[in-house]
Amino acid sequence: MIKKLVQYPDERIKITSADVRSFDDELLTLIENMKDTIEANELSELAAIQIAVPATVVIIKEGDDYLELINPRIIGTTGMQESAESTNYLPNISATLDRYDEIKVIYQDREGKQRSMDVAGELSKRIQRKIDYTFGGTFVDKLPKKEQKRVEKELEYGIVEGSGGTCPTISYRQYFTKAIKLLLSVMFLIVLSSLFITDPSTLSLLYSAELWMTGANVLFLIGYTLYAQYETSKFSSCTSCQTANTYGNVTFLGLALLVVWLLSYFIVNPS
Amino acid sequence: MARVVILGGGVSGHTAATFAAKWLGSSHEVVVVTPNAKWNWIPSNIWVGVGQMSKEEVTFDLDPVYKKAGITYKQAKAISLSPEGSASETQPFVTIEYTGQGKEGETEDVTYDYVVNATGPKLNFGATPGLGEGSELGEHTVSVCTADHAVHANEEFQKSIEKMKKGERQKFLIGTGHGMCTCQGAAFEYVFNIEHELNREGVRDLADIQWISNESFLGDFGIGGLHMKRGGYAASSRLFAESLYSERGVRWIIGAHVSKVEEGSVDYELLDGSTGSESFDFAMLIPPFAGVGLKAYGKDGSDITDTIFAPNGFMKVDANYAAGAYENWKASDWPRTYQNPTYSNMFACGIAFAPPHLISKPMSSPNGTPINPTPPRTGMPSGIIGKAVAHSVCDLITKGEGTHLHEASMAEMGAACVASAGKGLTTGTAAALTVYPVVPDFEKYPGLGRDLNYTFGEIGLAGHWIKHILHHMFIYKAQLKPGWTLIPE
Repeated sequence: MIKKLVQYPDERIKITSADVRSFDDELLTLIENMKDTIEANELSELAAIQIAVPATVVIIKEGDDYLELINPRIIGTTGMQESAESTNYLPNISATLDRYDEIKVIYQDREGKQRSMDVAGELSKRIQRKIDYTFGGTFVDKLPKKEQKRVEKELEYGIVEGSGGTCPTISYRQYFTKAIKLLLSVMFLIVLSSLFITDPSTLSLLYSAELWMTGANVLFLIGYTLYAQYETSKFSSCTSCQTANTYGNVTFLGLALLVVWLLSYFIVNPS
Repeated sequence: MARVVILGGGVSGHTAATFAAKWLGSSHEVVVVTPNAKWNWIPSNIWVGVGQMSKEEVTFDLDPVYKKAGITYKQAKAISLSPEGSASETQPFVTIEYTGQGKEGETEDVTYDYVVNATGPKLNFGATPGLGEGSELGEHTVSVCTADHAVHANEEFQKSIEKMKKGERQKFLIGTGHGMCTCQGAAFEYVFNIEHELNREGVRDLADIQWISNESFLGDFGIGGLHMKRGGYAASSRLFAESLYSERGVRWIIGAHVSKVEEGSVDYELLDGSTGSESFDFAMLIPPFAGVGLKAYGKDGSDITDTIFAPNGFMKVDANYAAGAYENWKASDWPRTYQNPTYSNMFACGIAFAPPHLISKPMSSPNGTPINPTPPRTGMPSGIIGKAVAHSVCDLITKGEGTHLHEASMAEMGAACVASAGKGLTTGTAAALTVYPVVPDFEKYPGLGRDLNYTFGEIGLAGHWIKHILHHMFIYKAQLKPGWTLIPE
């Protein structure tokens, strides 16, 4: 039976597959379903989790034959080579990464008999890629951290940018709110510490620092509002709810700033 | 007055003894029989092994602590159990041989009402030719299993550093020294602490670091792997481990049974039946564990060791030892009360109890050599089981036979693990992981057998601080300082 392929952003791909414990009809059905799905989608290999079955089963198409790997493990590796990779799970995403040139694989056949093989070249890379899936990872997890960030960004913005796709939930506007919250915390700490200070010159110095920080926060709030406006206009799918969230943040932070400023005016201000 | 004899003063035995003494008070006697004069916080031995802690920082004298707790302390090793007494003794007793307290070599029969076997393992170096003789470490490799071993490991490590400072290249081989080892976690911590120290000493570029273990995938740790929540789903510890090993430049050989150790090289067999050898200048290989070799005798003096102990020397408890093949394994196979099925006044906790089967998938090479991690019973589970057993024994004494025994199944117990990957106030790292349950329950949690809602994993500096805080906290608890009972196991 042909099964639906798991594709981004379906996060079930991240499930770690469990080892097959029973070599029964259920396993044989799974193997047949995987083969049917490979044929129907013109794929060359498939891990069971790609059809949403969290079992450690990998099927590799070799010409007209299939290699059935149950509970495969890579126990030996030799050499490295670059591999340009893409996957059905992440359409339009490709990257180059290092894969082992030769691998030693142990696995079980459909009867549960333990087998092993040494594989090299393209087949080695294909098996490595599919075994990664059984442990809940795609080739993206093998990339250096910086590259992973690039792909994540491409997934979040790249595919959809300009086409009115997903509104970003994490963006640069968060830097503004972080800065405001940090300054508010410092201002509040100054208010608290001033309760223990009696020297008027020190208090005067602290109060002027409070004023400077209040000014900076007002500028950050304006910056946040303008940048958030720009961002919501850039992504046509951003909802009014998300826009309202921006104004909500401005109101909340503005009120917090007012409270802290009033406290510093009455407590820190020596005059 | 009842007498409870606890064999062993490690994490499990010490926990059982101290809680039993607290709950029973002075109206009953608690006796601890342990060959060691000092208590050792074993998880910190890896730091002794790289010179970041001294032996004194990870050990303390047991005598004053037991005096304070009102525990009778006998520095001796248990030789045999006579659960039915003997021709001349009606009470059950344990035969011990002193190793200290000025009575070295003397034997004594200590009668008991209840006995708790918490002897821990015999470090079975002798199982691998060249790794050692019996429980004695050999000359070619080092170990971090005891504080003394760790001190020796550091001496050898410092020699390697000196050589590297003179421009000589060194190869470090760290991992497991047999196909049936447990404690991959300790070796994991040691390899990354070695790597961290080499970096700190500025000689990392002259070091080749090689990992060798019996795991079928990196990150198995003897419990079939851990799972870390990521985006609402659980990622395997294999991804985390492979990325860490690659990042830190540690090469790996897995699915390996070390079959022979010689000066500067090891021979190994892999899960596919192929063989190989690996050279080294410095090697730390964990030995497999076995029971300490306690014998048991019937009233007539007949050998009943097989009745009480499993073939590997660990004590039989209320587990299902006839579970059969991997597909039939169930969480319910695992013991709950740790009571011996033949003698109800006999319990085992920590490493000393015989597990019903492995936790990781069983595997062997085509030549029939079993190559798979054996179940860890150390750390947190060990302490929890020790406390539960102490509770049961105290209830049996104070409430009488037939009282409900306390339960602590590893299939219903979570465990937190903090694995150090380098020590340093600002440069340290450690992986903090939790797993629930320790033994997968495939019926309750189909698939992986674990509840992923209680799964957490993270690596970073905060993990190192936690590990360091735990070091001080558990030593504080073990010394029975004020509030010790409030600190969890």
